[in-house]
Amino acid sequence: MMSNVLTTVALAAALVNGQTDRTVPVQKGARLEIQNYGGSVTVKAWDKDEIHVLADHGSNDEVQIDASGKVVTIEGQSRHGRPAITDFELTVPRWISVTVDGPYTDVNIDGLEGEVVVQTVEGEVQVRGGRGVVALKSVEGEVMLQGAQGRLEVNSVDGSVKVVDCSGSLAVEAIDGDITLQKIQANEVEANTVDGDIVYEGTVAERGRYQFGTHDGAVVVVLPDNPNVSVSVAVLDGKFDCDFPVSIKEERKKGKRFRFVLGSGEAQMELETFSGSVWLKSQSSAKAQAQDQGEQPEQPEPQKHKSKHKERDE
Amino acid sequence: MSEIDNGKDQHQRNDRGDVGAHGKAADAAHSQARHALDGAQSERLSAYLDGELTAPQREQLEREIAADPRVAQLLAGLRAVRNQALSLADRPPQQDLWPAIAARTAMGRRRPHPGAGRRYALSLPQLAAAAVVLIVLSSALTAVLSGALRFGQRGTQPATGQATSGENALAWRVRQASFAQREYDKAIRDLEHALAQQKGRIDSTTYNVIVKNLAIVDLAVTQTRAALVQDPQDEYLNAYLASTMQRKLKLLRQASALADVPI
Repeated sequence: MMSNVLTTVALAAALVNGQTDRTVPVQKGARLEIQNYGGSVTVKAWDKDEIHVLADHGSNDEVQIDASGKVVTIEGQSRHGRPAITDFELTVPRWISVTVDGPYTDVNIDGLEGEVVVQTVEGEVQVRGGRGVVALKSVEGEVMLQGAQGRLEVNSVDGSVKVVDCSGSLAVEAIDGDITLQKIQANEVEANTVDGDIVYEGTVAERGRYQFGTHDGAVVVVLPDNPNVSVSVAVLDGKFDCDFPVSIKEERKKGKRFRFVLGSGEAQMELETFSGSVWLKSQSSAKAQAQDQGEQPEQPEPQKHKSKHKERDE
Repeated sequence: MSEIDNGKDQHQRNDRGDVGAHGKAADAAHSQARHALDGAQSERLSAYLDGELTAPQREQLEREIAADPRVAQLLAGLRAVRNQALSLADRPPQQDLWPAIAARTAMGRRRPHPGAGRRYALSLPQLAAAAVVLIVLSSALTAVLSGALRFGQRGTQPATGQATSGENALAWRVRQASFAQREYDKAIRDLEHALAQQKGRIDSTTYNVIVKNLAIVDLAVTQTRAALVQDPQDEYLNAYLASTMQRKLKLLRQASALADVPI
């Protein structure tokens, strides 16, 4: 049976009313690569070493699956030269690493313990889980990452980015979008946007490095009550507000650039905004403020995904 | 509680101190138009200073400069930065990075004056090559400003007030950065024109999004340059300008790759 699996299987999947339903076994340690021009890709995890593929597509389209080697490929294809629009629902081994490349595809991945790489142009990306390298990129869509560990990279050109309950190292970038980082336990964080606010709430690791920058927006950082961090601040046109007692020497007439140390100052943090303000808050004051307002901590809600690109095929 | 108010806070906050909506949505259309205008003006004025406009373009721009004090002010700012860079003493750098860069990228030789025809003749492979060159250039620019770009030290003055580098080194850095930025500006303009040529090969919605975001970055560049007019040797602002331009390069590279996506 295994030898059959190891041979290349190029499956022109059986089409029943434009639907493909197939399960293929995968080798331990294999990677999964999904290519889909438009539609959606939803990935869930299970404990079997199998991949179940359920795909809705046009009657002239097909799904090709190659599960013969260490890289399993799944691709929506059209028989008539037109890019295929397919909605995938995949159930995959929890350990598998997944790459999704879909220019007009919404991506929703849940519960994986392998690496996750997603690249889309006009699509929203939501990933819960992921270990090792997790890299999510969208040009026009919002990106959300929750519960990942490792080297995390999240990028959106024209959409907001939200990262929640993640650990490791984190690099987040946007141009026209807010960046929200909550419950972060990372020893290195970089978050930059051009036109948007940045909010960070998380721990400060010993000798950790943290950099938050926006051109037109506010930077709000919520730190533990007794942080050990050296802070550099640059505010050109705005104000600096801090819950912690600090002693600052003004060095410049125009703009505000200064450094100060909290606790032992072992970690480093850089906060900058060209046109906006910087707010450095303590967790206790932020919590008290939230309680005063009867506000519950915001949690990302899984969204039921409905492809917004389906109409391209209809 | 420590607070330093540096003037107007453009970001309205509610009673909880949260960062709330700050009117961006309401002003979106106006802001987008303003971004596009500022970005385009900056590019035209840079080309004007570099003598790259045709006679009709130059005459048109000069009429606009005469009619609009804001454009005139922007031009004065760009000219001041340019003149400052040219007027700095020609001290031998302690470590000249450019010969090595030139040898690797062929950018060290002064390029022929880029005519409009050549600009528009960039093919995709050439576009990719230009992007590679820009990567090297931007890396060099970063290296030039390495003292300022080190994490947590991007020109931020230490509380002790001790400068981290001498005046000569600073002047050299600023001069090299200005040189790199001029080359950078030209290369970016080539990429922008090439991107415009690829317009038909990129989904129109996506193309408009890219253009809008390029304008946002352009505005950031323009504002940073305007701030540099007040303090041309400001190490932090020079480094900030470099990083903002790198952002634009990254976006242009990303946009050029989109031409390969079927629409």
